[in-house]
Parts: sequence; structure tokens; C-alpha cells
Amino acid sequence: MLSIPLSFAQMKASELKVGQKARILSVESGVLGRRLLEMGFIPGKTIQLTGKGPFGSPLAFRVDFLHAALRNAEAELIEIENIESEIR
Amino acid sequence: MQKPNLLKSKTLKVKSAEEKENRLLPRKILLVGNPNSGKTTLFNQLTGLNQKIANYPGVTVESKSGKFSLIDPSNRIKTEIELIDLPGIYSLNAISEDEKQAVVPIIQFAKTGDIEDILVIFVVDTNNPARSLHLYLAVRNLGFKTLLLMNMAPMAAEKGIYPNIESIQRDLGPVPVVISSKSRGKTAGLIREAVRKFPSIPIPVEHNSVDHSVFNNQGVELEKQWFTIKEPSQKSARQKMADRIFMHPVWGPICFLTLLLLVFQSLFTFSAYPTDWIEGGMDKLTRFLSGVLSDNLLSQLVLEGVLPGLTGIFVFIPQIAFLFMFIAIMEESGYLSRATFLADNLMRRFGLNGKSLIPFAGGAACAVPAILSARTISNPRERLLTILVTPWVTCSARLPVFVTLIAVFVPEGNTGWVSTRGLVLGVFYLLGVVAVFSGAWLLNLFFKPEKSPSLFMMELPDYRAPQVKTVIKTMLERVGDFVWNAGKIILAISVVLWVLASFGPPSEMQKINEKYAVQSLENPENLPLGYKAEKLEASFAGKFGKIMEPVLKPLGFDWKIGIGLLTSFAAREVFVGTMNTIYGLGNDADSDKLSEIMASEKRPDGSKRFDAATSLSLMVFFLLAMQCMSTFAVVKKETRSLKLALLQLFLMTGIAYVASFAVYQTLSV
Repeated sequence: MLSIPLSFAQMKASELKVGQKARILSVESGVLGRRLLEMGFIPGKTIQLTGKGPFGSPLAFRVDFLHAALRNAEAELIEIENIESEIR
Repeated sequence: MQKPNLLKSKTLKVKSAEEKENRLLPRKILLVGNPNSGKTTLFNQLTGLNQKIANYPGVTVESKSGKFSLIDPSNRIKTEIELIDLPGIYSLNAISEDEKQAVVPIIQFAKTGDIEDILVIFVVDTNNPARSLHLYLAVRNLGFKTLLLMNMAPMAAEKGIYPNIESIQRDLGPVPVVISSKSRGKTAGLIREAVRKFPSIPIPVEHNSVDHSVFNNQGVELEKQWFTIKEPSQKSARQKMADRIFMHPVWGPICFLTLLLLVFQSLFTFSAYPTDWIEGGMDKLTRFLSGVLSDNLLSQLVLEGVLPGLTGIFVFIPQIAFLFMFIAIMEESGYLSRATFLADNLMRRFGLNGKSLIPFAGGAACAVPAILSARTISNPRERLLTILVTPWVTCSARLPVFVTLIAVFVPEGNTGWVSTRGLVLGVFYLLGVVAVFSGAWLLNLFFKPEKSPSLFMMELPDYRAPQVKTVIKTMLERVGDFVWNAGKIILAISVVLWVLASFGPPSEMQKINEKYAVQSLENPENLPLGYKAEKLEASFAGKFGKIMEPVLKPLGFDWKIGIGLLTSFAAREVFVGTMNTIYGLGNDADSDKLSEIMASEKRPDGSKRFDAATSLSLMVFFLLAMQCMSTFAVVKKETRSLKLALLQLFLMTGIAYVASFAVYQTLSV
């Protein structure tokens, strides 16, 4: 057991490391955020960064049954909370 | 194929109410659903038409209409219903051109209010139900009668997702729900049966209170209520493994480039044998016909005009077939969307989008459908740039020209372990790509920046084994298109060309006849050397070519090539047919093979006409020039601007002229 405090550190989906999982907190409003919701980036769901493109962009995410690529700017619209420190 | 007439619903409004109530079958059926959920596959199955299908979102970029016939089992009466396939959408808020093509008609139908006799077959991607259901509710709330198709259900079952018909119908009433089976024919049968239930489908009560400008989580709720979700089977682990390689930041691009290299190598090596068979066959046919036909003008037209023109096209069937096979496999397997993922970072730097890769890959076949597929790019500026540079991708029509010219000046043999000719061809494909990116980079500097955001939201569908049937069908169709479309034009042009090249001002033709004392016209086998060439030069075609010659001379082209360039504006591959006709008419060489005739062609000073300088200059011209009426037309349509289409035409041709000039002047010194 590591002595990491139960942090609910808020971050953006673009800050995830490859393989890391997190919970979606919210998606910014606006046309883009709306489309992200429609595609399946829905608050409450678990999101995982599965890969990065050459030179760090774009990013590939899995949310439930969705597997989709987003640019960093688009991933920044997704607020997440780290759940892995919780599990540890 | 016609576009669905959206205004029809207005004129049909005059129908009496009575007639409507008695209606047992829908007047129109719309296929609605998320991108890549299998709508077009269903459309093809139900209509017997052949619309393009592939495994990436955004294959269908315009609505397509077809006829779907139902036979009433009681009285054997056949009813035809219009079936409309719409591009895939995520919601009724369109953010790209292809989405507008779907959303506008749906809203239009709902607005006109005459929707009691329209049925929406809503195609649910069972692999990801929540998202489909979100869209489904929006469409249903417009008041459409709906049929739910749980598509790709066998695949979803492997992931542990099962639809629950009872709970769906408990919530919606007797809405027909069809669960797709592995056999497409069986699924189509279930759909036919369900469409017959049309009269009993309830008209949904309109929920005007639902505000669709705000996203709601209803889809997620309904997924929980209407679907049973169990632990996924092991199959998805293999999918993830594949992505770890193909989408790896280093291995991914290496795999992609290796794949492309293999494709171009095999274009040459695999197709060598079938090409020889076709050449041999056409040769036998020509000899046979020349023995059988009596010697008159008509048989001369067939033997010297039509047959050489057609041979020029037929020999490229194997290469075209292989090219399309590879493209189809990339599209069908789901690899293409991974390739866009790898390309996005690079593309962005040139003002393009990862999704530009789809038009570029399609451009290797033909720029016309490729330019249409740019509709999925939501940013107008990126889309425009993509449209403007796509014709620089080496298309299948340039392939015959390149292959012929390479055979003229590059000797057979290997460089290292690759064939030299294949290598030169590969270099030209690469040069096309270089032209695409430099062009985009330049245009990016000159075009005004745009405010609307640049997006790259690309779904990565599950890999699936390419269906042999689909790949072969795509191959055959494209080859058929190539032979038929190119064949038509070539036939017409070779006839006109033969006439122009066989006849000339009578006084001059007379002189040549006298000069060679042609009494031997009855015996065409023994014509004196040089007679045919001189006659061609004096013909109308020769005169016309001579007028153009001063402009083309700095590029190393003579009047014969000039005629070829002119006819090739109809379609590039026509060049080869034209060369066949012209050289067949004006050459005394023994060989029937175009590349050999061209290789033996001499300049006035006795040197080779098609030396490396001229051949390369000509190839560069074909690489860069916009010699295609159809592309011009589709660019004008897609950009809605004659000015842009003209700009592209003159820019491309101007650049081609300058580049060819530079190549020829450098190499011929």
C-alpha cells in the first residue's frame, strides 16, 4: 500500500498517460463538447487513453464500447478525475 | 441512381385522408443511424444496388435512393417502395457537409408534416447502443414511425451485449425490432417481414418539451433498460493487440509505409502475367481480323483505330484490379481509420486534416469519388485544401501512361531486390504525394485563415476480416467502370482521331501518293518505307498537332505527343489509346507493342524521340497537370465555385508546364 492520499485531482483527458484510466466528470459546453457527448464521452463513464499518435498527437480513447481518436485540443474539453489513486 | 426528391412530399399532400388511412405500406423508407453502423450494406441488400461500403465512419457522403420491392404473400402483388440511404449522423446537429446531407432531409420531412406514410428504419449499432439510442429518441420525437434494427448483433454478442426486445416494446409499444443475423439475406428477410407490420406501428406522441439543444443522458439510461450487458469474450483482446502495433507512434508509420511499398511492388510483379495474356490475346484477335476482313475503309478503321485504342486500355485491367483490391482490403479491415490517426499530426502542419487521408487514398483510384469523400472534413478550409490537392495523387488513369512510358526508357531488370521499373513507378507515386503536400503547404500560406475550429474526431471501428465477396465485388465493379467508361471515350476518340489522322487536304495527300508512286495501295503489306509517316504528318491531325508544336517543343514534345495531350483531357488514360492509334498509323516498325514502337521512334536528327529527358518530362507533365474533365466538374460542384475550379485547372497545368520544362531542359543538355 502506498501512502497516496485519496486525491480526486481534477485533470483533463489530454493529461492522461497511455493505459491510464479515469472517470469523466464533465465535458465543456459548446459545439465541440456537444459532439463529444453525442459520440459517447459521457460524464460518469470510465475513460482510458489507449495510445498516442506520432509525436504525441492525436490521442486514442476508449469509453465503454467507443474507441475514438481526438486531438489534444479536443481532449482538453473533457474534465476527468483520477480513479487509479483511489484504487491503490 | 437518382437523388431522392425531397419536394415530392409536398405534391403528394393532395392525397385524400381516406387513401392515407388505407395505406398498408410506407411510401418512403429512410435508413437512419450512426456512422459505420451498416446502413449501406443493408441498402445494397434490400435494393440489389451496389453502393460503396467500407469499415470506416463516413463512407456514405450523400443520400442515395433505390427501389425496395415487397410482395404481398396473399395476392402476390408487388409493391415498390422508395428506400433512401442517408449518411451516418450522431445527432440532428450537423457539423460537416456529409451530416447535413442526412439531417436536412430528415428535418424537411418532419416539417412538411406528411410523415404518416414514411417509415424510418433506424439502424442501431448494437456494439455501442447508448449512442444510437440517443439519436433514435431525437428522430422518433420528430414523429416518425420507426423500425429498430439491432445491427451487427452477432459481433455485439461476442462483446457481451444483448438487446432485450420485450423491454423495448414494453416502453415503445408494438414497434418492430429486428435483430440482425450473420447472414445478410436472413436479416433482409426479417426486415421485409417487419415492414409489412407498418400499419400497426404506433405514431409516436411528439415530445415538444424535449429540448434537443441540450444534451441529455437518456441514451445511457435506455441502454441499461433495453440491453443486457455481460462480460466481454476474449476476442476483443486481439483487437487491442493489433492496435498496439498499428497505432504505435513508431511501428505504426513503419507498418504503413512498408504496406504501401509492397502494394506498388506487387502492382508490377503480380500483374505481369495476366497483362501478357491480354496482350497476346488482343494481338491474335487483330491478326485474325486482318486476315478475315476485306480491305476497305471500315476494316481499316477497326484495325487501325478502334482495336489499338482498346488494347491500350485492356492491358491495364490486371493492374487496376490489384490496386482496387488493396484499397478495398484497407477499407474493409478498418485499417484506414488507423492510418488517418497516424497521419493527423503531419497533415495538420500542412493545413490539412487526418481525415484528408481518406480522399488521398481514394485518389489513388480516381479523384472524382475521392473529392466527394472530403465531405467528412468538417472544417471548410481544410476541406477545400484537400479538394484542391487531391487530383495530384497518382490516380489509376495515370497508371497506364506511367507504365507505358517507363517501359519505353527504363530497361527491364532489378535494382537490388526490387524491379527497376517498379521502383521508378514507386518514385512517381511518391512524387505525387510530394506534390500534394507542397501544394497544400503553398495554398495554406495564401488562403485566409478561418475561424471555425479544426476538428479531428475519428472513430476507430473494430477490425474485421475483409469479406472476400465484398473485395472481389469492389474489384470487378471498378474494373468494369474503368473498361466501360474509358472504353466509351477511347472508342469515340479513336474513331475521330483515325479519321483526322487518315485524311488530309486532298491536294497534299495526292502529292504524297504520287511521290511514292502508290499503286501498291491494294497491297498494304508492301507500302514503301516512310510513306505512312509522311501521310500522317500531312493529315488533319498532323496539321493540328503542328500548330501546337511550338508551345510543346521546350518540353521535348512533338506534335504527336501534342495530340495525345489534347485527347487526354477527356481522361488521362486516353493518351495511351491515342498513342496506339497514332503510332499504329504512322509507323513502319515490326512490333505491335506500343512501348517498343515508341522506343524506336526517331527525331529528325536520328536520335531517339523518347529518350530519358522527353519521357521523364512527359511523365512529370502527367503527374502534375489537371487533365481530366470529370475532376474539373466535380470540383466545381463541391466547391460551388467556377472560380476555384478554374484556379485549380490553371495552377495545376501551369505548374506541370514549368516542371516539365525544367526537367527537359536540365536533362537534354
